[in-house]
Amino acid sequence: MPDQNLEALINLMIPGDSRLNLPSGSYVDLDVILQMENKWETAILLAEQFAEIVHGKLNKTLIQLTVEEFDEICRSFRTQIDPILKAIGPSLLKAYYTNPKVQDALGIGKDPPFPSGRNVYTGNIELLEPVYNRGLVYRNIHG
Amino acid sequence: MDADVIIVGAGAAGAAVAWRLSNTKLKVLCIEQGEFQLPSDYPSTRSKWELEKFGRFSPFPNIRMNAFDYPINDEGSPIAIANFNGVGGSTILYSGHFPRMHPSDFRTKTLDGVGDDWPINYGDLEPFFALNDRMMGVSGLEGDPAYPLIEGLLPPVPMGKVGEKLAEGFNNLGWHWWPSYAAIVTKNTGQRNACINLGPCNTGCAQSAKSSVDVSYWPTALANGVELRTRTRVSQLIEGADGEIVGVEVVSQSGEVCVLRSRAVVLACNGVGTPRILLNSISRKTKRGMGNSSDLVGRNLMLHPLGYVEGVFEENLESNLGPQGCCIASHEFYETDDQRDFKRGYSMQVLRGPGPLETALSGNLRREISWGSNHHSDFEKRFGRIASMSTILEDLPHPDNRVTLDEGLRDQSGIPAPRISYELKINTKRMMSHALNKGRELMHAAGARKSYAFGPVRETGWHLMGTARMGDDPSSSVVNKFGRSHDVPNLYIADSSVFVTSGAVNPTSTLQAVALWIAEGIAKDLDSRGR
Repeated sequence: MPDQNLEALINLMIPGDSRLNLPSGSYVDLDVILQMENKWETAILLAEQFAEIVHGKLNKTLIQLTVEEFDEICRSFRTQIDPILKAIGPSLLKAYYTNPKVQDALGIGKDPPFPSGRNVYTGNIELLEPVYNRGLVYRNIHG
Repeated sequence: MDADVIIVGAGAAGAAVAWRLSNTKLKVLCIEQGEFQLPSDYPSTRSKWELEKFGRFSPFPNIRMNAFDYPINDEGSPIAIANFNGVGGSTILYSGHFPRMHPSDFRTKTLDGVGDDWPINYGDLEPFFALNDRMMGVSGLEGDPAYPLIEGLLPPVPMGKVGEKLAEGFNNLGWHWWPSYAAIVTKNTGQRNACINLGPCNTGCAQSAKSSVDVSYWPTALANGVELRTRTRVSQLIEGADGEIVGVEVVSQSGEVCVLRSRAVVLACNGVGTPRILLNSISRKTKRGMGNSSDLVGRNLMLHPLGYVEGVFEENLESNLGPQGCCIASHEFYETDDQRDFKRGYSMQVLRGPGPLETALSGNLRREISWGSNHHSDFEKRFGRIASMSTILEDLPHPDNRVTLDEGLRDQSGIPAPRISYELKINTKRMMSHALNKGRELMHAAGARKSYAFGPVRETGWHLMGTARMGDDPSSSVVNKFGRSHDVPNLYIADSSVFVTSGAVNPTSTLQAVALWIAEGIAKDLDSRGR
């Protein structure tokens, strides 16, 4: 991620979590998604805007901002911050939650569904007994 | 003569017709604007499988914009039009939920004073439903009190924890539910392997367990001698001096235009594609397009407005696992109840399979998954813990809901695109409100800690019906009960355009039964007219 503000911002939006073995936002290839969606330059500009807001409010750079301070900024200056996060957020989620390391940490495995498939609980078919015993629920018209 | 019969469209209806006619001596040619799909190319074979539904596996042609797609102007509709153009048509991306319409759906005028009666009934279609189930490969469970007896089903898809949880909710309320009818083979069937619960059926089934028609009807139809010409687009039907059709004008992907001649033409391009071709075809009889003396081509578009209900549970229901659109379903509110403020009704279809990305996107949109320090814990509270359900509303026909042409919007071959004008009428709005309330009631009866409901959902315009309705009276219908045009004796329509009413279930099972019924008539017609 060549842009420092953008990298700092997405690491604050999705911080890493060592307990869950989840990486932070900059681990994933957001730049690929942004370029695919033609949003790369916009994202850099928005990250710069975010950095300016932070500097204006706290006199800090984005890199110096803690996650707790990020939470507070988002709460306190929602009208200014929301449009920035809404513009970058969906692309970040697309990059993050399709990353194999993230998927593995979430318990679905880093491999795609095919060819292994997934095990699904069959379910208790006896639950149908009251439904069956109640009788027909359609209009049994002739023809 | 290039063929006895030209079928336009290789999707659910076109494949069924092609297969049925392949059992005759007729020379059959099918024209398809798209191409064959390779199961190994479907997203579930790649780690970024969830991402691809936002691109080339999107169900929306205006997003997908493949070379084989045509644009659709649906700005005048709260529901965006979905489809897929290729061998298999929209069955490539459908969820495979496969209930039949009810007997009452064919008699809504007589029974409830709304819509119109069909010229055929459930009994007429019953053998074709059964035949279609065998050809497609359908799973489910016999004994459903919502239908006359349906036999010969493969074992049902697993309910999963989420299905069982909602089944308990249905039972707590005393409501009907039943394992979904699914166009999914749950046992090895012929050349097809059983479902292994990949999950995202609606971006194509890499296992070929989902019964898309490229793996069900087409292999046999092709082996029987049907010619399938792909990457070829029909621009218009060509009328002869006697008012019959002499063939179709086609455009190849390289732009080459030619006329293919046949004794009969069958349109099977869905409820938007079929009226588009008819309206683009010049007729001596009327300036309104081919087969359109009734002025009903394109009118009475029905889309099944869909409501979405979601419950969030404390326990992990593994709701991210299993065939996405097939789990359990309820027809508790399907039939008219005079105590309600609307006629007809809706079905409830329990969904599953929101993967990590969809969970994150929807949760973030609803401010349930925040940015910052709580991001992961918010996600954890939702992933696998969401039960979701769609309510499919019967959409009554209305002439103002229609498909016309947009001369200013054209596909890559220069053919005018369809324009959709559609709105929900009062009966549907009242039904939607009822369905969303009942959906939330269900979620809470099942133990959800939170629920959400909204509708109509824009991105759900899969079910395209009614735009060339069948009937006995030429002034109030486009085709007769055998799908034959009242105006043009060798033109047939075999897709869901001919639906008179929509029912309140996914239409593919019914539209294929209707297509087989119509194909039976075509075989007899052409046989009686001699070769």
